[in-house]
Amino acid sequence: MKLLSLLIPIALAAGPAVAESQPAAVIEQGIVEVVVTAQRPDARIPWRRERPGMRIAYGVVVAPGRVLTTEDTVRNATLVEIRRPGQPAKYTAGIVKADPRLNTALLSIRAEAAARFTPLAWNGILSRGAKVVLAQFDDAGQLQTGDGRVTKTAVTTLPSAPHAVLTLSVLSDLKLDRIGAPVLAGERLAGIAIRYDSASQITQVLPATLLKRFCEDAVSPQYRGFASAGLLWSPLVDPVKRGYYGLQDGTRGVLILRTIPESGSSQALRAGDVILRWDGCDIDSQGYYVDPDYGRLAFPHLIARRYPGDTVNVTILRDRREISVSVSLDAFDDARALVPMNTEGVPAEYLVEGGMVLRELSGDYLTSVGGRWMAVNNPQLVNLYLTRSQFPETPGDRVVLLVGILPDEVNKGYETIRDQIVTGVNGKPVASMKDVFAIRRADGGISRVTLRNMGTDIVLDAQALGPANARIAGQYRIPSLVLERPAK
Amino acid sequence: MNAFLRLCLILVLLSPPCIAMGGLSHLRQSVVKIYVTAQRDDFQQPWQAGGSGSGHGSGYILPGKRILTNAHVVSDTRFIEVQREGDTRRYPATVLFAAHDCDLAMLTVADERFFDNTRPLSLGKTLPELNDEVLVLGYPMGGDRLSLTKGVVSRIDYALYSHSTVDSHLVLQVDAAINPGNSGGPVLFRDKVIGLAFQGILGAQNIGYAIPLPVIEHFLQDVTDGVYDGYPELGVQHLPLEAPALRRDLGLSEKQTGVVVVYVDPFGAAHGLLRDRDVLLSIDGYPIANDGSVRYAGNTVEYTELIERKQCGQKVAFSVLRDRSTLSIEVPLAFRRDPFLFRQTYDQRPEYWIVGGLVFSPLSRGYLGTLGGDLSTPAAQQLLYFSEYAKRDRLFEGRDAFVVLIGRLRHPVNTYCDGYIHQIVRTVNGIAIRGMSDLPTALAAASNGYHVVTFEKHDNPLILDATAAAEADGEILQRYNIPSRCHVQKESKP
Repeated sequence: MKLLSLLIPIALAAGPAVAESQPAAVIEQGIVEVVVTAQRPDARIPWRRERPGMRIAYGVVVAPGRVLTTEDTVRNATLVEIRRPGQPAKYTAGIVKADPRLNTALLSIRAEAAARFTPLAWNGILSRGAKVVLAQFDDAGQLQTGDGRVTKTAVTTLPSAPHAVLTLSVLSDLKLDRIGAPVLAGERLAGIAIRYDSASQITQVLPATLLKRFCEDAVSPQYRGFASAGLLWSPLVDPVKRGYYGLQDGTRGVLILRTIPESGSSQALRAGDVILRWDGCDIDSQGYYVDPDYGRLAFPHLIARRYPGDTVNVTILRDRREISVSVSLDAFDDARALVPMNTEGVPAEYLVEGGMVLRELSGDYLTSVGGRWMAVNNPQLVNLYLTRSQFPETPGDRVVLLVGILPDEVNKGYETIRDQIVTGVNGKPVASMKDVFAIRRADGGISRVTLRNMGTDIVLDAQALGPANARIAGQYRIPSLVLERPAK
Repeated sequence: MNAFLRLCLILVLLSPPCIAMGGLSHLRQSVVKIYVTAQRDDFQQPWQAGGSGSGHGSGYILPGKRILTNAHVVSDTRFIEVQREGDTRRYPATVLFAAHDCDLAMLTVADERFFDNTRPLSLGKTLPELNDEVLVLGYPMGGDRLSLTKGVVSRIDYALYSHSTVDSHLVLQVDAAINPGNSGGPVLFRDKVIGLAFQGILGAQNIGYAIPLPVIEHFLQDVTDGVYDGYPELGVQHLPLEAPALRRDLGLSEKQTGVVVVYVDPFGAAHGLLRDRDVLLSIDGYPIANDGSVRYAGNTVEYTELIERKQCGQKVAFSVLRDRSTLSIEVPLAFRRDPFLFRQTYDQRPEYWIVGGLVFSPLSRGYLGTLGGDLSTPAAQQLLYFSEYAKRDRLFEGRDAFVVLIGRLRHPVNTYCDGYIHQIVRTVNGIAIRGMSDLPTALAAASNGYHVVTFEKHDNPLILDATAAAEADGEILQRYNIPSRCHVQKESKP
């Protein structure tokens, strides 16, 4: 009884506190629902699209006519609309810039829609322990808020793409129903939610400092993005291993395992170097530095906080001597990979010729088969992706695949061939679909394919290709036998 | 009352075979039950054996006081006994030959009294046709005494022999029930043995497989010299020649038929003799059709069937179209040990070497079988790739085996060496590792007091304090109850 009486006044006090306070009105004006219709391409059959689906997330108005949401919300969108929560009216939105590197997307809405909302102001740096408010709407469009606290600041892998980004963990009693919800400090925007775990009640939040930079970058004439150094590294904690690499002191240094060819660090750094100091900060043996704002953070954040093109000073131990080098940073570019991840699910370029389906190997092609993708795909292709994806022998190289054969009388005898690496067409070497398209244009067709693991070329009747292609397109209902994108 | 009824029921069910057996009473003296206690090796902890288990199979008596059964019945066994129908005594038996590539084994019994009053079964002359009625004898689960089932030949085809996991030979598919325990029992057609029951398909109904006459004959012929050599492998993969454009490209005339070579195995008999783009026109004078078949003894069979019937030491003659001219090429057939085929092995202790608590062992089918859910980790996935593409991607070059770091016996000396399990060793102390026997030599070459181990497609070397590792090993062996720090076939200890 005593307990009950204690509880009731608190519950009563909590309700009106939010509803009556002035910030709620400000917040309400700055939050939208983003309603997206998206159609993912079939990662295996490049001319097919999966059934369109719908996603609803929150967006935050950050400037007149500009709405910030997450990149995975608008990925493969066929229609993006926004609405005021609980209201029926929808307004079409355009995508100004979407970056999977940070899982952020900036949308634009027309003036008549923009006039209905008021942008939220940016908050600054939030450190651990800071008190925040999470906001969302119920079905009737009523604002719900919950108090939260920043429990962790760390560089973590995004749920939407394999990139490491500084995120905040917020512990709150508000059960978030959608991502993209704003995290507020007072009435200022301190971050947006990108993941919510109901078991731990932890919301993973992209901090305002990164979001603000993205929004300014997205509307600038040239989007710059976030810097990347292009290196693989490993912690160096084992005292024996530290001794082997000539480290006398016991606290600093991580080991460089490999640098990505043509990347900024490939010029200045090499495997076996030990990084002691990066861009003004000491790097400890586990790869952490002490950030003045966020505390102990993994050093990849030191790289990402810079812009591509920036040059940083790095102190390394090379051949047991401490030296200083300049490393110029660039942007992570999936398109430079031997096997691109293609996390955004861009439809692959392909060619169907005489029933042979040619395309490039990509991460989504392999992973789309499900959780056991490493065990069920052709192990040769999986191994290439796992060990060599970032390391083309020559820039621009890709892995060209003969995915399979659509059986037809023109390709009789070859119908069992599938998932084979193509090294040449029409007797000329190929290292990408660009090469394949160029040879096809020059020769008028592809009638010979050389495979890496087959000692005899596949040969088709060049004269029969034209009618066969028309027949196959009709029989297998392929809307276009070629998808080639213009070179960037 | 209840018990009495049940007894009657069983008698009724049993009686028809008893009557049938009346006419085949000599068969009862020829089909034996084989009791085994088997113990498989522990591929994750190769210094110890796995648990042992008991089971039984079937076999039949050959002329010359021998017993024929399946290799899988007697593989990895510690103790074998045989028993005749109607005899209470069990006699210890030993394996004379175990042919793991065709799942056949020959046993003998030291006590010759075992063979008293037995009538060896003789082999048939030819395989039965489809729909011919055959009998399967043996000791399947569900009872102790001899069982007979009747069925027809449903199919004669090539299939994988699951015992070795990699070999395919002719099989006889019958619709008679073949169940666990039937293995090694004879399949009879007109009182003659034309097959040996050996495997089934889980979940399938009325499908039982027997090793057919030609494979049994091949085995019996092979062992007449006292050694089992095994099936020679031609080591050639082909593509059918159905595409006119490919036929023109290779220079075949309208009338010529054959198949084109697309892969020559470096461990096969044809290595160095046949090449990619060779068109195999005929084999031993029999023309090869565009789908790879030949007309042989009135049947259409795969051309490889002709090689299946040959022994090591014999030759096979091909007529080959190479660079538009016709050649005769003779391929001497031989059995070459191929460590990169990853055939399942039996009765062979896995090799291992322990240093600083790190356990190294060669990649084997047995080890791959232990990976299970680990196959969704990059390191274990790489083992899958190396085992399947060892030869096609020339990964085997410069190697006798892929030496794998299979385990870490935790100890302060290796406490930071995580993240290396399942990795394939490339070098130790700068010395390329061909096989297990290179490990001791390379470990003796530590420089500056460090062991440096590098791994395939892995950029992070493993560093071990050489002195501390040597000092720790005794303690590690004791702590983890390991009788010996190594077991390596080729002796080259430091």
